[in-house]
Amino acid sequence: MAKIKKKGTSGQAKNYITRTQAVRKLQISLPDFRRLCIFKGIYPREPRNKKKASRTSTPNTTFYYTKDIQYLLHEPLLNKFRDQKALAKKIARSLGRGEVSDAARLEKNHAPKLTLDHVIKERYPTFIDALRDLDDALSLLFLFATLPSSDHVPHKTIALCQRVCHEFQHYLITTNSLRKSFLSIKGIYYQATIQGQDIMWLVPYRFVQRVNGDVDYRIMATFVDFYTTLLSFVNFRLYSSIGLRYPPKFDTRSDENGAELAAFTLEGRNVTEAPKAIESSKAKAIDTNKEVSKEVQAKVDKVIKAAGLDKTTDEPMADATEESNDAIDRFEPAAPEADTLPQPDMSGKDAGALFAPFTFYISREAPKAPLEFILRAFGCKRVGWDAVMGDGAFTHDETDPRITHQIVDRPQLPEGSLPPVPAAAEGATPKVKPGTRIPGRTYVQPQWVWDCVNDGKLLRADLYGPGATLPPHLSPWVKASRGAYDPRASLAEQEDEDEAELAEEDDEAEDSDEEMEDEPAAVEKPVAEESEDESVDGGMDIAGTDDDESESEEEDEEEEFPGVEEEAASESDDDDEAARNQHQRELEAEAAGLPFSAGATDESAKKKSAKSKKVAAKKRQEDEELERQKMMMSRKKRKLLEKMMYSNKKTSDEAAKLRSKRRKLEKGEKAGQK
Amino acid sequence: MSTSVDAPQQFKQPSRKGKKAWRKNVDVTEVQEGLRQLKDAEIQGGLISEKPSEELFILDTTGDQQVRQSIAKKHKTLKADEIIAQRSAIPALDGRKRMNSNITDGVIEPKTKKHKNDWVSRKDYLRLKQVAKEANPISKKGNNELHDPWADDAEEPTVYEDPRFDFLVKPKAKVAPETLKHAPISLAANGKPIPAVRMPHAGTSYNPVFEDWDKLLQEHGEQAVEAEKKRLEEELKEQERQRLIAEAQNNDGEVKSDDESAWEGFESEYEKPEWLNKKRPERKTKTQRNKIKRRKEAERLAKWEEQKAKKDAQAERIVELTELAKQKELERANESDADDSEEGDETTLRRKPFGGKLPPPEKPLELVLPDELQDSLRLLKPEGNLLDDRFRTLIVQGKLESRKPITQARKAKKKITEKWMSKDFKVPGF
Repeated sequence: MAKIKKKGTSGQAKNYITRTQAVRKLQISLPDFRRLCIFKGIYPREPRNKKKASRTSTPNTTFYYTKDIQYLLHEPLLNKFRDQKALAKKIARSLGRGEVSDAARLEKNHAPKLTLDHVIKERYPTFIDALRDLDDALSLLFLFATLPSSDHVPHKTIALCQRVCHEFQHYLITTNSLRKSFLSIKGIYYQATIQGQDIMWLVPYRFVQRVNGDVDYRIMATFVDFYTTLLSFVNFRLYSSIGLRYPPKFDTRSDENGAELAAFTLEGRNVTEAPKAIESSKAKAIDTNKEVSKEVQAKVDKVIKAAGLDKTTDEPMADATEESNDAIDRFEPAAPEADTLPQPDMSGKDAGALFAPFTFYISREAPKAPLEFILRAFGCKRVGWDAVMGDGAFTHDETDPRITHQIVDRPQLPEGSLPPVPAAAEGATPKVKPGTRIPGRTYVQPQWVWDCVNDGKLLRADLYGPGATLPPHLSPWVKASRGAYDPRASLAEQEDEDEAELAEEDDEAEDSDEEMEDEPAAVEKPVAEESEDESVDGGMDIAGTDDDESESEEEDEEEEFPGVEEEAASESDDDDEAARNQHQRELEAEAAGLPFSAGATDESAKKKSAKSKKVAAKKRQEDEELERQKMMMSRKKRKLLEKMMYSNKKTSDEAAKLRSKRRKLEKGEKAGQK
Repeated sequence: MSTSVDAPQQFKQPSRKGKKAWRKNVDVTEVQEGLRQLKDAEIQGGLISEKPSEELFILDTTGDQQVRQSIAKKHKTLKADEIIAQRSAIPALDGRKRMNSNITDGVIEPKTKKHKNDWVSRKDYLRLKQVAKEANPISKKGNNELHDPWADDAEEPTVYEDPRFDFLVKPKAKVAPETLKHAPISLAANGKPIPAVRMPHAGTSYNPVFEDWDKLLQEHGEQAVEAEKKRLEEELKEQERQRLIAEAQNNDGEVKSDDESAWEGFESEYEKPEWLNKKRPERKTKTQRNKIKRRKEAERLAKWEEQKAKKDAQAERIVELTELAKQKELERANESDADDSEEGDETTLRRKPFGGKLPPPEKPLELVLPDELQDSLRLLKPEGNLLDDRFRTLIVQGKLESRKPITQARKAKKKITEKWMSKDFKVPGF
């Protein structure tokens, strides 16, 4: 007889260990065990059969791999935890004996130092691994950087988070590696590409984070601990890779004055921040003697102008035009049915040149921190803002003639509804009455910056003017798949070959139906020609249309059919109405004693039917072809194809609906313009 | 040369009248004297004031030895003075007594304890107590040694191998187990890993395209309606349950006296509750049994017939049905096709989370309702709580077990006992 095997000596019972057992084995407290697991990346596991894995009757047990826990026994951090525990006991004893100074000395000299360096190296063997896991780290750290300090979240932690985050942002700014950004209702999404890795993170809006009791702060603090270490190492590596010194110089005073990004000074081989330096010296001069009279200021300005320092605005413009020539090739599909390849994102050079020639001024009501970061990451060197938003601006003066763009987000108010501006003190920056426009600069709403960044080119600023109804802010990550409706592209680019014409014909038929009632004789029209013209116009963007010609034709149309316009405007093209009309016509014909089928609808109907017949025939042929091909496929492949076709049809139907809606809208607009 | 700096004047000039006041009688003796002295100097070898200083002076760097000796003989210094005279250029320490200072002379105790150099302030004391309680003393000497952990040149420390001990078994290297590399178990219903930051839905833009937003709204609306329906159902059930309980408690077999009639003046008879009136089941006769049997058989037959009819009807329109089934299957396949992507859906979680007593927290609604839809960034009211969101993400990624933070620690149970000391007495006489 074979040897009787004892229960619980092999298999799942051996491979898994419950949390309580693990804590006992490691001889640490449960909170320490949690921290250790977070640091080392040991996660709870799930045995296939819980009953076989443990002998406990409680269903809520958490399991770990026994081997993981066994490996934790080697961990140097474990010894540190034990040291801490021992020291805490000594301190408690000293305190109990009333030897407070002893306790203080013990704490000061013998407290162990917890370093996570080796853990970082162990968990992320290569730098790319670390970059891949940066999403979570950045999201958490940016979140903690905006939290208000409380007893759960000490201000030191927040300051540390802010520092590492700003340092990371500085790297992105210098290398222009920010790619996309999206204003969502939760916060602002950013995407950067570092060494070929796409990193996405979410930054909350300012001052909206509530600290509530559902979150375990001890655990979050452990994560923050780990991630700050990780990010500082990553920053170190990134900085040294571009020849910068890490950590960068940090000016505590200007940070206290709300300078945020500007509180850091990068030092290294290839850092040139000439315009910044000039401005800062100037600002300092203004700060030191605030009583400087206006004349002196004017003189200084004149001197600066004479020295040619303000010509910096023009020079990078030329550079930008030069740089834009060497762009990456885009993947153009060779054939219309070919797969659309993911287009390459713009290169760092492109990104760096987007806002380079401009000088921005951020008004008080616009979010300064994200705007400054994005503008600077996309090449803008000169960003100014109101003095209340903190230090570090290129200029605090709203009337500065060098400003080319101003970002405003206030509603247009009627003149006189605002209180008069208090007279500016002598020497202070001149106040501008809110709502006034300074000539020579472009006023835009903040969304313009985001949309420009996501499109990779400068968009029309007049669409984003103050008080204008903004175009929708689209997510840069939602790529329209083939056949789906894309609001960004024009109608002509995405519709099927015959779609526009067919739609046009439908309209025509209805139009003619309507006209039938008043003047049934006047229906000699070049339908095909006309419809073609219309479809071209519907596309709007197709090159090569002679405006004059089409206009003249349109005029002709107008003369011929005054009813078209009405129809288009009213947009009453419901089916039941058409049916009603039909019935009406029949009745009329009957009353006149004519056979109805010989009516004037005949012609257009025939044409329409001919066209649709053609389309239908083509479609049938295609279907047959497909059916034949399907027969040859294996069952599995056929299933897959069917699945694909089904989903494709669904999206294309939806898209067609949306397109028809848009076509109607555009037509309505055109009619309105006429 | 003369010392006077006045203008040249005549000889004594008591009056300005007469020949004596004439210019030619001006007194120039001083000038003449000066000229004579100049001549004398030139005779003696040149004017001293015009000579360079090198010709006039020499630098005596050695000093006169004799003079020194004579002076040393005259004033002989003490050895102590000599030693004391060797002063440092650095000023001496200030020997003044300070009233409020931590510095003491080391002999006299300071007046207050605060001046002791090992004094611990109240704040520090409280902190120490806290540290001792939480057992987490950490060195405050910042660990700011930054380096590049991924650098190539990080060489392994070479271990010296002593040839004398080469017979010893070398210690095994610590090898991380394979299981350490396993990804955490995602809580998504489809079991796919959940990303740390999900791609935002197009409808969550602050200024969305209407269609996207509407789609999102519909989706969430349906979910909310479902949840509300469920809640109402639960509520009804709960009410029913409560009602039943209350009923059961009310008539717990007791006889209710007819209060109403008692008040009206006549008393009803002794009333039994309904359930007491119930008769006990009587024994069935054979015929009854047979009857029941027959009826059951008939019922069974009818059921079977019905089923058969249904089946036949189905068989008739089999083509149609298969088509329908196909459609349904496609639909389902399409549904599952939606999560063909690598990412798991964080909104639909699997039914049973592993470990822990609590389910992961609900995902709050992240949607701008129609009345709050704004097209200006300034007016945007942000939705959701990112802190909760991060915490939840960690849980549903499977990195943490879901748990509620302990806000108030459980206290030890108190057991109250009576002391018998005062009662366990003995009367001495007995």
